[in-house]
Amino acid sequence: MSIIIKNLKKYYPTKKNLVKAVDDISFDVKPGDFLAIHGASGCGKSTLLLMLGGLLHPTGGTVDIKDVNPYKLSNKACAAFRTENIGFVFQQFHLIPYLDIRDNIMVPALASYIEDLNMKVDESLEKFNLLERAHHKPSTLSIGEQQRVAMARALINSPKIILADEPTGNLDPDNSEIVLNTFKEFANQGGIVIMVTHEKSAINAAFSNIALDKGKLK
Amino acid sequence: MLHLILKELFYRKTSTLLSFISIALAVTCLVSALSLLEGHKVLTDDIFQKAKTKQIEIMTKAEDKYRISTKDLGFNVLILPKAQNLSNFYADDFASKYMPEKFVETLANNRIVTVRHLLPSLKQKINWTEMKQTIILVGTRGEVPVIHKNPKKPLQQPVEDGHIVLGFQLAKDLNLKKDQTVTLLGEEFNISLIHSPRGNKDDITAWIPLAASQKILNKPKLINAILALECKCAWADIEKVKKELEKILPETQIIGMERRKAKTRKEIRTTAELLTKNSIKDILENRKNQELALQSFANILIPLVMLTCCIWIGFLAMTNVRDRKYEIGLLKALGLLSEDIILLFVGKAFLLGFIGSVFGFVIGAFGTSFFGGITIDSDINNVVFSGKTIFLIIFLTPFLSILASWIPAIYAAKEDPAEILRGE
Repeated sequence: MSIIIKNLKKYYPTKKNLVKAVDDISFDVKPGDFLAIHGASGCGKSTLLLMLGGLLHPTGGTVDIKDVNPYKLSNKACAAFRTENIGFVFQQFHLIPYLDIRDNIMVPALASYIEDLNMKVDESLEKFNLLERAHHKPSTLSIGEQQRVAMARALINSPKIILADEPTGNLDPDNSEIVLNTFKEFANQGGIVIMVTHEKSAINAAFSNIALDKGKLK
Repeated sequence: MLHLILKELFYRKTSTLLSFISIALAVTCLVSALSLLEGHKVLTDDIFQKAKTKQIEIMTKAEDKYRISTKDLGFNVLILPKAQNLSNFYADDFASKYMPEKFVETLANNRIVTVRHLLPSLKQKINWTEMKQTIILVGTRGEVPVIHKNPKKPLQQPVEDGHIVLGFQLAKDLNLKKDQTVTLLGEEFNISLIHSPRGNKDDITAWIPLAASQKILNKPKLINAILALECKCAWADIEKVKKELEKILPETQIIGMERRKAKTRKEIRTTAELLTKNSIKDILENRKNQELALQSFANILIPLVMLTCCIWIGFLAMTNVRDRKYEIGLLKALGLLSEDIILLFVGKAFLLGFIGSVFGFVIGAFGTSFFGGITIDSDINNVVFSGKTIFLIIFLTPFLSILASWIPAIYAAKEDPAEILRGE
């Protein structure tokens, strides 16, 4: 299962000119790859990631995941496709404040049925060393713990792809290492990790990387 | 989903509490208004029933009181010989035909229910030759007791044998004094009484015992009128009296007198009854006006409160959407559809509406009873606790709550996750 990006574009017309956030990008990502996309702020990294996740319609070009272009699917089918195949990790974690850690990890189950959910959640909690925090609210957790919860949530529905937007941006080196090791492990098991970052250590941890500059591949 | 809704409700306590209070308040207002209005109706009915019962009691008591107070307003009946021409009678003021004196006994011995006092008389205009004066002579024997009734105090005293009673003008013209002895058509009488002026023919009348008058006028055992005094019945019943008397004395004719008194008596009763009825009518009209005022007030207050609450709930829901922007973005990124997001907000609105309406209903219904002095009796229960009302309140309130949250829910559903997550 590869991701094939062909001539992908995202333009934002303004009153004065046309902002080319992503401008005619093409590349492939194979299973087992851990790709880092890096570049200066505003170079179009996050826009590219959102387009890869089926969340942002491109102005042109195609994104094929498992030979499926999610933008040709209906909203419902696209959402189902995303749920089944993609896990997201964000810099701000976006944990739901009123749910405890266990419930936060289970949130993807709202969108689709997950087999052996409770067992998987227990395994995740153990894997990310969160068992003791299972019934705590996110606000009581450290930044590192919160990102580990976000990682557990991204992996609970066994996705094939992880899309991570600056996942280590707020983390100390130890927690960054945990996150990056998790990504490596995921890729080594045949998954695809595409990580947007501007941190050298994260770029170095990735198996491959591409650089963006003003929306174009460098 | 329900788990998520419930957790969120308890997490944002202030927002939840404010929404809950506004819904409960609106329902409390609605139920209170319903209970008060219905209670007012029930109280009015109660007041009406009590007033009606009271009226019947008062009128029953009044009947007796009026009977006592107006007993002297009974009417008189004059019994005349059947052959008497009434035109002549009215012209002369006495009958020219005669009937046996025993008629009065016949009447007295019968069970007449409508007549209480009987006064036989022999009356004639004569020339008092000794005094060279035309007078009206009345022979009277006083009251004949109606034997089957309890003896009553006689309304008119008889003139004692050998005595004469004179009208004022007659005594004055002839210069006669009390205790003076006079001769009337050859018979001597002692003046026992001189009446005060009456302003009618009584002032030229002389009253002597009946037997003496029969002798003087040469009408042995004859009379020309029987006065039945103080008939205790309404004037409207005169025909009944006539029938009763004519049945006993078929050779007589009966005429009624003093119509005004009887009519007055009936009018007093009618007026009193009307006054009581009008007083009840006034109470009912006042209550009706109060009810209309309450109804008008409720007609304005209830929609206003409902509308304000809807706007407030909508505002709170919109604030909630703003607070949960990243949560919405995340949920959509994780695969939740717009419908799921709508369901999240609508479900919350339904729960708040349902619980708020139940609380509001209970507070409204029992609060009105406690603070408003309206007893929750079966009549009010029939309206306030009717299936229709419960349906309207318990099911329509969540619907209104959903309606108020609908625009914010749509707004939330339309949130673009890419925009939210890109803007983080």
